[in-house]
Amino acid sequence: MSGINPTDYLLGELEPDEMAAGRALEARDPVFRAEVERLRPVVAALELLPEEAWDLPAPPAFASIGIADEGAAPVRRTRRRWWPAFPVLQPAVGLAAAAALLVIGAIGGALMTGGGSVSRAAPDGRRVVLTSVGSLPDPPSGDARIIGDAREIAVDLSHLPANHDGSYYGVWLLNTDGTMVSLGGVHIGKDGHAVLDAPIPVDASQYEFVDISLEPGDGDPRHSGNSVLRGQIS
Amino acid sequence: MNLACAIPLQSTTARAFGSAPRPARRSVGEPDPRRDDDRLMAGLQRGDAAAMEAIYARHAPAVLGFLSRVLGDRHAAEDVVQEVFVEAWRGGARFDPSRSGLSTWLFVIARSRAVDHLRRRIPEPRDASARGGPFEQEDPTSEIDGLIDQFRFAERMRSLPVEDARILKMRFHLGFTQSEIAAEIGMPLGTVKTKMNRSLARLRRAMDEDGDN
Repeated sequence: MSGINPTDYLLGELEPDEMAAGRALEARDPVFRAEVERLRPVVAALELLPEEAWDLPAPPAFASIGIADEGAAPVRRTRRRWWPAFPVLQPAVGLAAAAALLVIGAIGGALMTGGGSVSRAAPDGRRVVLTSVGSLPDPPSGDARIIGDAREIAVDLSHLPANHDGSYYGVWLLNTDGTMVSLGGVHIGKDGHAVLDAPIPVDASQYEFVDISLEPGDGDPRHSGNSVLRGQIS
Repeated sequence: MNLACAIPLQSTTARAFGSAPRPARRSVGEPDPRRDDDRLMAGLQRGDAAAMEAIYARHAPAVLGFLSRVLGDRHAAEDVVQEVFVEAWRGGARFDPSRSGLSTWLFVIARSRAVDHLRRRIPEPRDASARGGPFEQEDPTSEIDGLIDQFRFAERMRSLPVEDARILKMRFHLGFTQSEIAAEIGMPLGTVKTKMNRSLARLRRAMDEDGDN
């Protein structure tokens, strides 16, 4: 290799005549060229780093994140509520069973049954009228009842398009700030009707809306963003 | 959906400039972050809380930096970083080191939780009949992968000696030339250049080992 340092060349810290010599060397010397090409992505990456990446923040203390005091193997661990600033459960996980008639919210174990051959919604409770938020030709309708100490919900759904290809309808409680919790899901058949009655793992009175969404059944536990019915909890 | 799995984590920077693969050789005494991660990951898979604490100490700053940048909210980022590491703790037994490194895995989790958080911010779910709801139209993931590359790179710099990292910062963040750095810190120019060469080579090796070509 010549006397030109590949790093100096890449950094442009050479006199103009040396830079010209470096360019010529890069063109004709495979060893020099290989070294330059090897380091060039590193230099480029360094030049592109955002300011925050140069001074990485100090994370919260490990002891505060709810792991340090858990001694058992992680696979045996039970879920803990450790995110105090975000007092909702995460959306249910494990929705591979979404195609089934019965889908259980993995967090709360909410029991929901659809397709018409199910338990009846309790007649009492605080009523939440669910109205169509889409523009389906035959608008769906429904209502929900928040029962007892707001730890149980009954939902009656009608005129929903039947599910296909593993899709299902998700039942959610949500707030306008975007916090939400999945209560589970239900598969709707050709009759477009389902009655659900489920204990729920949260206090429903802490939420503003009952929401029914169409979920694609792709295994993603998050809200699809496609709501079909929604009602405000008074 | 399930974007975290759909989009591979690669260095777009490296792709843009191409690379000249070359066998990496680690200097005697040089830290080996990947090997350390493997050891810690084995501990995590055994349910060793001390290993988890070490993983947290090693990786949480970059993950938090990434989340702070993506979410634009330090407090929210701190909440989400906790979710990430608790998820890692609980899912450690399922981690497959043959598929990715520990850092890659943590950033996959962080990416997923960040997207989750961004989506939860949208207050009103929308029309089921409309094609391409706002989540699709305003895909919050479009710039996230580039940030992951950058913060993973920043994480690699943490394995450099403090003085070497300082020289990199002075050169690439503060805009000093090597000569100016030498004058500023009272170090011979040749030493600054040696450290610069060494740091770039180490970072390149780390990129190679992480498959970021």
